[in-house]
Amino acid sequence: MLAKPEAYTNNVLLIDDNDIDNFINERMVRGCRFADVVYVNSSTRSAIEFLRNMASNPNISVKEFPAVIFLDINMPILDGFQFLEELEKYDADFVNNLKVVMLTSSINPEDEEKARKSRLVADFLHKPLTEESLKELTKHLVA
Amino acid sequence: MIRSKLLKEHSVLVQLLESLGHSVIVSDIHGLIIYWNKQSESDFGFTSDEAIGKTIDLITVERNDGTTYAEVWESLLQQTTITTEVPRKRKDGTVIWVELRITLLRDNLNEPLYIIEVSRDVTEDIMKKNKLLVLEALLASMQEGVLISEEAVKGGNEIILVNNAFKSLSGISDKDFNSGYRNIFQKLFPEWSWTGANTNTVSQYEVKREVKGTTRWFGLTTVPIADNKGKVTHRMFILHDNSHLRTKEDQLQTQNRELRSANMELDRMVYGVSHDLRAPLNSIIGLTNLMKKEDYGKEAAPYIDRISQSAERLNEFISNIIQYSKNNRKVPFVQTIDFGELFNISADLHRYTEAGQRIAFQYVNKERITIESDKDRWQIVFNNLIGNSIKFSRNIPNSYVKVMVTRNESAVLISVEDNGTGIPKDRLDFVFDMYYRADNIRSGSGLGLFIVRKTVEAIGGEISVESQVNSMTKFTISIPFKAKGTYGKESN
Repeated sequence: MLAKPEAYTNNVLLIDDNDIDNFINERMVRGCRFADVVYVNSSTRSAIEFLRNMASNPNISVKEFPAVIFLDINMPILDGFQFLEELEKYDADFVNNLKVVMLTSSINPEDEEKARKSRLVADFLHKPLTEESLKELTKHLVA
Repeated sequence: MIRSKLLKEHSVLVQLLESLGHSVIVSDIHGLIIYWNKQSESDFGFTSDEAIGKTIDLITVERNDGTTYAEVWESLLQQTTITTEVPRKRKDGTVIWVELRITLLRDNLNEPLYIIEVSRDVTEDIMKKNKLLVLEALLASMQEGVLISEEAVKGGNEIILVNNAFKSLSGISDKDFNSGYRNIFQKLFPEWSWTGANTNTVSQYEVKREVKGTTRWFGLTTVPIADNKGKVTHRMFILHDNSHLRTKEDQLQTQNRELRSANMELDRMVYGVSHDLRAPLNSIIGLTNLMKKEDYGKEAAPYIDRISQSAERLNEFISNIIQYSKNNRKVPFVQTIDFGELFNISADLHRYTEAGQRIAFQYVNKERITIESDKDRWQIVFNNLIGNSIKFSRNIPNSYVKVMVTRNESAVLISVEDNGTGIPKDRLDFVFDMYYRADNIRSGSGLGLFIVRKTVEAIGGEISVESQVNSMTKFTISIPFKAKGTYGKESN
């Protein structure tokens, strides 16, 4: 559904420290057929490790990389913003194709403002993830 | 007659007197005027014909100092010539000041013959002198230091006037004032660049000084004084002690900073609380969304709907608090308040909770009273008070929460009453205070009634509470008919 350039996939990576939310988001993403491949990480640390391992493994094709990351903000140790900074520093092809969608319970406008400043952030959504917000997001990402 | 005789006998002399810029008046020893020259005519307004034959009383102003004509005459007999300054009355009644020289002319036998008065109008000079006296008195009474200097003529910059305030403020000794103003200012403001004083515009300068262990702020204003050709001839320097102002300003700035940071702290806290409240709530909403989507059958549907509705309303309420916090100082949106509608929205928010199902929700507004006010703020008040009634209800069969709208002679009264656990007497005074601490923010408690009170105050009302433990609690909000601003007005 998001297919555009050859190397482009619509694989999704969910990063949230709350497993209930990961459960909801995974089922919603699959149920709405937003993506077929859904990776889930319950900490930013493990997500970084996951991406690093992927990038350093020559047997993994570009098509297997996540294209959209749903990223929570309030997380322990490394929060969503710090994760973004790490990701921006990470010089790899797949990073340039990445689209990060912030997904949070925060309604602090400062959070949204801060997120929109990052070149990787494509959208800012409030929890919970719904069928409607995924439809809107699809339009937005394809456009 | 005498004049024409004189004119004939001394024509050259008289012509000279006629062309003189001074008034010349000649009287005989009886005091009768026998000569009155042209300048006298213009100085005093009387023609020669009008004046001759009269006494000098014609233009005399009664003197306040008690000097009599006889006394003048006496001293004239002894001194022959008197020089003085006296007021004179003109024909039109106005008074002028003249510098007067009276001479007694004697004949060969040394007998007094004529009295000659030569005078010059010095009114303008006197006025100037008086003005200067007033100015000096003014300067002496001023709290600001004033120094006036003559602009560098031949390299000098002479101080021509300095008041006591300048001396005491600057703390510079008297003898130093003889050395020119530049030296003074170099002492007082060593780091002052002189460009300010050399321009032709008013300039200001401020300096901080330690004087006897305290910090003082001095302000210096330099004012160029130009002649009518625009050339600066004098400069006025005004020295003010700004310390008092500065201290106040510093205090204000500090308070302002503290207030701003407290405000930001509160914002952060409110967003933090909101996030922690909303996160699990959003999970509930997310889960009910999935349940609806994945279809768990007709029997489950009403429950799922109600869970979802309740969660959505709670979510909305949390947003209200945030909005309240952010919009505290924003202009309210005033509309007609239907208390019944507010009551239903709040009741629905709690109807499906476990406690809510045991409770009877009652609303009484016999007179159908409405007011003009800010609806969102009222909803916050209702949500909180009704929510509290449910939260603190007892597990008894006839639990109720009752909202009543009535009025007395001066105000609309809205009460929220329940028969719950009640509030102990010793805590009644504090229920409206904000008593959380930063370290238990996450509990999220202690905000509710504080928000209620602030909100009620914002819409021009007052709130009070009465309670008995394990019996009843009743909150009463009173909105005066003439509440401040546009809100709180009774609409019918």
